[in-house]
Amino acid sequence: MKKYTYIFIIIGMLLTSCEDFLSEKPSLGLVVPTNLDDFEALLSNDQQIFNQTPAIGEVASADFNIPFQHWQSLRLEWERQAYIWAEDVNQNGELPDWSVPFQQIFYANVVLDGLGTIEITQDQNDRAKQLEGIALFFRAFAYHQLLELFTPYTRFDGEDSEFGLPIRMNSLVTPNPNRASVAEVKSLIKADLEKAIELLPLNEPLKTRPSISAAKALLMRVYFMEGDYSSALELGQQLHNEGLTLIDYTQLPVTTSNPFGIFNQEVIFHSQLMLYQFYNSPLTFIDQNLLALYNDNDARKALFFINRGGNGLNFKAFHTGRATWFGGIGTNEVLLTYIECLVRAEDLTLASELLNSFLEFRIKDFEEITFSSQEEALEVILLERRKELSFRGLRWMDLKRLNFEGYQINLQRDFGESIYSLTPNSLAYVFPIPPQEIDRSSMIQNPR
Amino acid sequence: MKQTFTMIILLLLLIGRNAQAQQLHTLKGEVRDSVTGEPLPGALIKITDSQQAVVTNESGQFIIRLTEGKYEIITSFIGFNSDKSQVQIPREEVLLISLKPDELSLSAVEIVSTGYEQLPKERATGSFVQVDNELVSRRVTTNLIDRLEDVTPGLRFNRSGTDQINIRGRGTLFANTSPLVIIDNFPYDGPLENINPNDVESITVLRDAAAASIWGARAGNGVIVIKTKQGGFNSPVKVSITSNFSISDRQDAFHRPLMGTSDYISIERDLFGRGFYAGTENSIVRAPLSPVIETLIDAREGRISQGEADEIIGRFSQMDVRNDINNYLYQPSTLIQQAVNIQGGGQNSRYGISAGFDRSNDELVGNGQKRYTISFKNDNKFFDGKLNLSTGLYLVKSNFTNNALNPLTLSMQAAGNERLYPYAALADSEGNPIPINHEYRRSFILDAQGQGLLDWQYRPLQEISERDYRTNSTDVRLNLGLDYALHKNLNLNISYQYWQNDSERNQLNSADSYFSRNLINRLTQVQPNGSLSFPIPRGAIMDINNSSTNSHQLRGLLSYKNTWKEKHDLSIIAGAELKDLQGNGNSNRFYGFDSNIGRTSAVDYNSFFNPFHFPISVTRIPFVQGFSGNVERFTSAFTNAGYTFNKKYLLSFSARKDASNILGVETNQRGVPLWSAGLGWIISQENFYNFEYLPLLKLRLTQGYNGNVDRSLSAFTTAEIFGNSFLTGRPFARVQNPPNPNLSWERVSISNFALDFEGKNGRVYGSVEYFFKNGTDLIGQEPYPPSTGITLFRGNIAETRASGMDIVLTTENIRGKFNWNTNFFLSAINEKVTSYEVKASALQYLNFSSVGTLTLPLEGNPLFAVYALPWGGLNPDNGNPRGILDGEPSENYNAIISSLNPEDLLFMGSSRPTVFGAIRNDFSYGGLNLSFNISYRGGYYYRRESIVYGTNRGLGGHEDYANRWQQSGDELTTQIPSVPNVGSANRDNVYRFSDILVEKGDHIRLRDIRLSYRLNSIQGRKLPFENAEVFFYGDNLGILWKASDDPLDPDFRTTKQLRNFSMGINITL
Repeated sequence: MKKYTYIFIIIGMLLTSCEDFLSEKPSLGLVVPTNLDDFEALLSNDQQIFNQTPAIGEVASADFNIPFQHWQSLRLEWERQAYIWAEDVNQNGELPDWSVPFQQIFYANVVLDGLGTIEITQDQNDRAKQLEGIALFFRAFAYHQLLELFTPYTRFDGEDSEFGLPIRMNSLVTPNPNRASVAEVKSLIKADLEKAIELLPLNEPLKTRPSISAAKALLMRVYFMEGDYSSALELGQQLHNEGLTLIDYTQLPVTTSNPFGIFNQEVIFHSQLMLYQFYNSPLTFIDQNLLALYNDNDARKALFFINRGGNGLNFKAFHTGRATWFGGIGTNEVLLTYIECLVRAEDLTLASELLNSFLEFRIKDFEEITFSSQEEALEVILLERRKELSFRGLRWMDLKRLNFEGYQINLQRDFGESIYSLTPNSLAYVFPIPPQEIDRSSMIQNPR
Repeated sequence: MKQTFTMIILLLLLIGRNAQAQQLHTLKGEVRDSVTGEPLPGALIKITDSQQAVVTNESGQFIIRLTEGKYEIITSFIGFNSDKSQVQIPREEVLLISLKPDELSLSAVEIVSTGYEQLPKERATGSFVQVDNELVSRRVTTNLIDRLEDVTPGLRFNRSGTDQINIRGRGTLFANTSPLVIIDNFPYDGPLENINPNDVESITVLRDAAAASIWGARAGNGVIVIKTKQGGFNSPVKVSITSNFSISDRQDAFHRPLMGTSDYISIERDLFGRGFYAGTENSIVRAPLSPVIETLIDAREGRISQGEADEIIGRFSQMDVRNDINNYLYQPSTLIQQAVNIQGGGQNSRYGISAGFDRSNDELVGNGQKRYTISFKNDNKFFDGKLNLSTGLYLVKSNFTNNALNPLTLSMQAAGNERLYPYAALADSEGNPIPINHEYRRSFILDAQGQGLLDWQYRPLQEISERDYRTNSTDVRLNLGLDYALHKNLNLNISYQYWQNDSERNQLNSADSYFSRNLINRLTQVQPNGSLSFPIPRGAIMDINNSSTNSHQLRGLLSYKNTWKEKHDLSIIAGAELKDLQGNGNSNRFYGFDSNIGRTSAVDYNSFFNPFHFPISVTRIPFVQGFSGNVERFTSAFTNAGYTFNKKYLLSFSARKDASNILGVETNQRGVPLWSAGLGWIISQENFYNFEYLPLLKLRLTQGYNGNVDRSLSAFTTAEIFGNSFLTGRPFARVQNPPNPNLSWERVSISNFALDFEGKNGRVYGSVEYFFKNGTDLIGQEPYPPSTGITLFRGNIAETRASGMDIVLTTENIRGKFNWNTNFFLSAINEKVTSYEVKASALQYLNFSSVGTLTLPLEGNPLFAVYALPWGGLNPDNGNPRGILDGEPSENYNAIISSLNPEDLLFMGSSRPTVFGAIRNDFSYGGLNLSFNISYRGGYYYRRESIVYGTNRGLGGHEDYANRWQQSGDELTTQIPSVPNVGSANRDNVYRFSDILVEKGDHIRLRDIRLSYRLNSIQGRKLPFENAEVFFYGDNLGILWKASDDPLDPDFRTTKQLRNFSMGINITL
């Protein structure tokens, strides 16, 4: 009987030593993110997740026109509908402008949750702080983009709206159909950015990751777009004091290729607009009224636009250095925003000084401008803003902001037989929540 | 390789010596059925005065060695009367023994194998299907699993989806769907193409829990047990040679009904007139235009006259690229198989050796496979047979060449990625490759060549000869087994298997291949001074992928068998096993590769470059390097017990616990216990039973659980790390799986009720089985609101229920010189997803059921189902399709689609057969055999393709375009909508998902015919061989009947099922 006993002992030993045997991870590339390297890798997903900016607003901003023939051949119904501000949205597929920012929020939350559960040693402290700052910045960036597209426009000192966004502060994926108020979402964004400013490093060599300046610039954009010009002004001053590098456009070579390299000096935070067929089409022509704003000695005219043989000009100069359009934050945006805040604060001297130094880099044989009144100054700065910062997802935000302030900007699409228009403060300024969301979470649709 | 051969030769020599060592006289004999003349394998030969006994081999032959003298020999075989005969030793001639069938006997004993043990079928309670050697070798295919088609009740072959086969329906939604394959008692992880069907002795399919639950957590999809050939003890050397050749029809590009050239050109002209191509003409990525559009542009620009343009286009309209595809890309596929088997054994040892060589040419020119297989099996008994040592060695080497160009991938690679313009030509009249318009505008390419870039034209036919894509793989399996009789009732078995599979995939794109030229040209940089530089050096590009997987499996098993008081029969096995599988892979690319001198060049992966065709953008040199690795570990403990009382009452029980290395799961969740129990009652053994027409009647009832695991899921957030981001070159990660704290294993419960019966004289026998199969905790995919951060979530959310039956009936219609047998089986299955809380949108169900690969279950319906929209007919005024909105025909497409709830969809039925089976008739007269198999599939539906207009007026779509509504009155003869002025996805949807396009899939087809002639030397003739068989075989012979009028084969709608003809010879020396 003894020999059986040995056999059982051997089998028993085999079974009890399984603990380690079964802890081996099943795949080399697979991890349960539990360390700073893993979190950093998640935040470095700059192609599939982060560093992408919704672009549907740009389609609807009417800086571009597209002939009917070409419009009808656009493959995505979303972009066709957005182009004519259609109220009836029946595209059943995924709308990346809605889903990708929420993915960014989810990834940021995975990292924030993870950082909260792991032990961080003394020498990891700086890196952990930076990663937390990056995650907070990304979450704020995503929420702000969603806010601008899918919720009604509200002012910092005005009425709130109940049609905000669901608030997601952790990585659990339980559906949440409850839309918090716009004010709640805004305070989340501001809190995230304020904290990110404390945590992020001053210098970040990778432009796909936020630095302190990026967080300040985004916070400035958030205040600015809701009309809180004094808060924006404060941040503008800080950013200006820290230095805003500009490229001298008048010295750039005019070639068929892209004059701006990737990660160039004007880029504070690199992000690209989501790709729609619309943007790549040679039949997406710059609106003639917009084109008329550029004088012949404006260097931007030759740098930005190209005639590819169609009946109009295409836009070609992307601060991404690639064929994808820029949707990040640049020094030129910060500077022009700051100047506008100065004008609104009636600091016309500094405003004109800064604007002149800016225009020197944009216009050949530039003659200095002086402001005689605030109205005149505002007109000039808004014109410069329009010429400099179109084509990067900001126009949609400006349209809502300016129309609220009474600028009465009417947009129109002329297809010959049918004409579509978007009137100031129209409900169509708020994109409908995609059916994919409404069907699955019974979220309340935006009023039409 | 060399070492393996040496080893085999050495072992061969050893066996030879072993046989010579016997100093006895040899008696050769053969046992046959006195009525049919068929040899009787498995008959028992006993020598009365000695303790010796042997069993006949599969040809009914035996060899026994005896000292000089006179002996009485008793031959017995179940189902036959015993025979006693006297024999004088030595005796030169073969002893012929004929047995008369026992009028009141049971059918021959069938042994079924669970992979752990062999048991006589009459003792089994579970549901087994045995596919014997004759059936396995009936079909001619390189792939073993194909040989089970239409001969295995309960095994369904699917024509859509990723799961090729299901045993009694699909037991899972998203986890692994393939049945567990056991070869020589161990799970096999390699590709099934590596099994030479000629080495297979038999296959057993385990269908219910009692049969399969011994395999526990991996048996959820059923188990297929494969036994390879082995010699018998005390049998003479038998050499058999098999050689066969088969050839298939050529594939036909015209099979799929696509728009013809003239319709295509007229749409192109129409679109051109509408300015549709204005965007592409100025494309910033230099997107290509078709030759017709280029011609129209030339005419518009005045480069050619309108008359010239019409003439050029007129010439195009005479062409059809499908002719070239048939001539240059398709070929009749061929297969040559050669195999040699040597088997034999002495008193204490036996062996089986085989070598095989297969060579096949694929249906695509440039694809083919070679396979060499060698196997060696040996059993040696020691200590009076108390110890048995068995070894097995299997070696498979395969070479695949994959140079073919798949016609389905031929395209202009324009923005819309439509199919290739149909008036393309692949070769000139001499058969030389000619270019097609591809990827870039022709004018741009010519201009670039003028600037000093490489020839940039794409000649599809040239690619086949300019690339050398091959995969070489080596598969080695080593089995060691030790059986030791600890006691007369107790046996210890330790077995071990080592498996290794190495595969090397090389893809060489020569310097002249379009692949290399294109990449080199795209990266060509224009310097400020106008000179060119080449970041990718000119030369070939070589991709190498290596992967290596090996596994160790170790099992310890104790088995106890005892019979006492002639009434009790108990058999128990218990054991434990370990498995460790590890795989590694790496891939690499070499630029500027020169195979003659083995030189490669360094390239700059870090810098950004401007693509030549698209200079406003930046790109990097593609970096193709990486490592992968996976580890799969299992530990299991199991037991199985069977008890028979009074040869009437059977009881069985089995239990198993598995644990596996699932990522991010608490240890206690890593394992799952599963069990089964069964009851059997042989009613015909009861005293009260006196129904003489059914001498065998047996009832079986089983219940139990099998399991399944989805290794890709985890309770925690898991992420996959990738090499380097395009933008920063840094590593990045993607969340693979959101956290799921409630994750558990899938469980499938199976209940089986079966009745086995056999008629008088054994002329009719069969079984009826009825089963319920319930899946619980199945991993399901929920569409999630995107605001969660994910759009799909996987968790244990689903339940399924299937019920069905398998009927098998064999009749021996005529016995005698002329024989006629009929084998019939019918399997029916009704599958349903019973719990799947989350609903997708109606359009998604429609879409998924049209694709057939993704699974999106709707509660209450089968997993694979066809849904449709009610059809409102065409509008007689404009030919617009109409759906139904609020009970009325409507053209408000957006409202029709958006108001649709999943419940409103018409459920047309399952998209997979719910009834299937086959009826096979075998006729024989002397050595002549004729067999044909007719199979049927029914109770399922499919969606017919038709025209989808999209945004390009249906360009390149279905040939139904020709029969579309064009003027009032057409609606009386056609249901095909008119061309819309502005393309609308929902207008297309209302038609393409309408119920008029759903067809019934039911059909009957002539599966195959096999004609063979067998010559035996024993039957009075002297031949240089013992027996030989010549056969002719025709496979996939065509549809005999189908329910739908649709001209296409319901199961093969995009590509044709090809007829296949084979002939071959089997010789046994």
